[in-house]
Amino acid sequence: MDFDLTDDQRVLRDEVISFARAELNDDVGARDKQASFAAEEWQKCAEFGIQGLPVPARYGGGDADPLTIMLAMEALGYGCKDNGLIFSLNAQMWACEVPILLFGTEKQKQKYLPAMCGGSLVAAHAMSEPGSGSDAFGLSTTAKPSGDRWVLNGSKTFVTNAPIAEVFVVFATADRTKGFAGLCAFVIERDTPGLSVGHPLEKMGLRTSPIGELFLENCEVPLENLLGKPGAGMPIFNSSMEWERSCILASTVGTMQRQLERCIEYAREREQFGQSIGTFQAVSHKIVDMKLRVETARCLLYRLGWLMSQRKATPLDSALVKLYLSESSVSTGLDAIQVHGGYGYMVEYELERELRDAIGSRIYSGTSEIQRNVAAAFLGISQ
Amino acid sequence: MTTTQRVRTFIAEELRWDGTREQLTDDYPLLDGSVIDSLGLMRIVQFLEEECGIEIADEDLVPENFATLSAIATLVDRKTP
Repeated sequence: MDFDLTDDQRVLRDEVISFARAELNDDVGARDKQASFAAEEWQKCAEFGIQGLPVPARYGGGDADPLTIMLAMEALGYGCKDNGLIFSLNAQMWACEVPILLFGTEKQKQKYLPAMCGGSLVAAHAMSEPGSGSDAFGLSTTAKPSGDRWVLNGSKTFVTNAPIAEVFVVFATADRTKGFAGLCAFVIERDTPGLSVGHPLEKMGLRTSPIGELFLENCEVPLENLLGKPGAGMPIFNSSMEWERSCILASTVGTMQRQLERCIEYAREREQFGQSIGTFQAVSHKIVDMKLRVETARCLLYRLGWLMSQRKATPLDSALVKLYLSESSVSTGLDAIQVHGGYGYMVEYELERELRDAIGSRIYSGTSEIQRNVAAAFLGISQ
Repeated sequence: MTTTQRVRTFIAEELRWDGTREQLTDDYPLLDGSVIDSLGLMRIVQFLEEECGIEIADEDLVPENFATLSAIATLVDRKTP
């Protein structure tokens, strides 16, 4: 067992941190207030190679292994304070790039992946519907074959990147009586007749990541836009969720590390009752708990990265990582505010924004309750 | 024990099956009969990979490979080196 990073991984981590600090942190507070997406920073991330991390070089990517991807995303979370931007990046990488890479035709890969890696094309994943969230496969959007086309009808909600996306990975059922076995996935371009995007939805946190609704009204999609085989929607969705649950919170390990260091510095400098507040156990113990949380989270994450590289990862592993990292990021966000007292509650200190951003992690990509359900099933204690 | 028998035992003991093992015939519709849901499918995949020493790729997770016990046995035969 070797816990050391390779030289290449160390260099990549340091480069990502330097890049993020220098290029991604201007006006984050203002962007959060205005709920505005950082388009220039998105392009900078693409030029640095973030969007291309999981994609082979022949499609314009960096061809990184899972552990290296996690390290890079952790470094991004450490250096970049715009958690919404990182969330939008994650939404494209795991739920759009990966399914096209794993299930797409060569033509689809050539058409979409280089543009996604290069930053010129933003993608969105459309699964959730007004009536189906955690019960993802209970969706009601339909897809009917009609000659040389599929005709889609229905609506999607909570589609991250929808307001800015030019292409969508959309799930619909070709036969509701078959349940998940009737599910199909499509790659649909924004200008397709019958597809429309609703107004952006306002969120509690991750406000710089645009989110919205998608409407499909007799939307005619060419047969060649089917992703994978008819009825392959479930494995497409599940494999992208495995990637997403595994990687989407890697950045929060970096965020937790940054908050920990900030709290240590504050606890050493801030004085009350004639001494630094860090000398009070009520404060120091909280910071020790933050340290324990981030170290545990990092170990779980890196172990999963190694398992994925060995093709040994199971849904249990990704569920545990998603569950622990999301719950830890909320706990650490609360602790960071508490250590900073009244100042921590002020917008200027940016900790309240990071807590708002963290809370969403307990909900997206499968709620904490769903992760526990998955884990319980794989432990053989529930069906 | 054959692959079909092992999978039948797994489904009867671990998934949503309230009938007898005799009722779980080789041709019983596992998907249409809601015996296997999406989570159950992932558990069967893990079971097959561990028990049969095979690797099941994402593209193998299509309905025709898991529709019945016979279909699963055929998949395992095809994947067995």
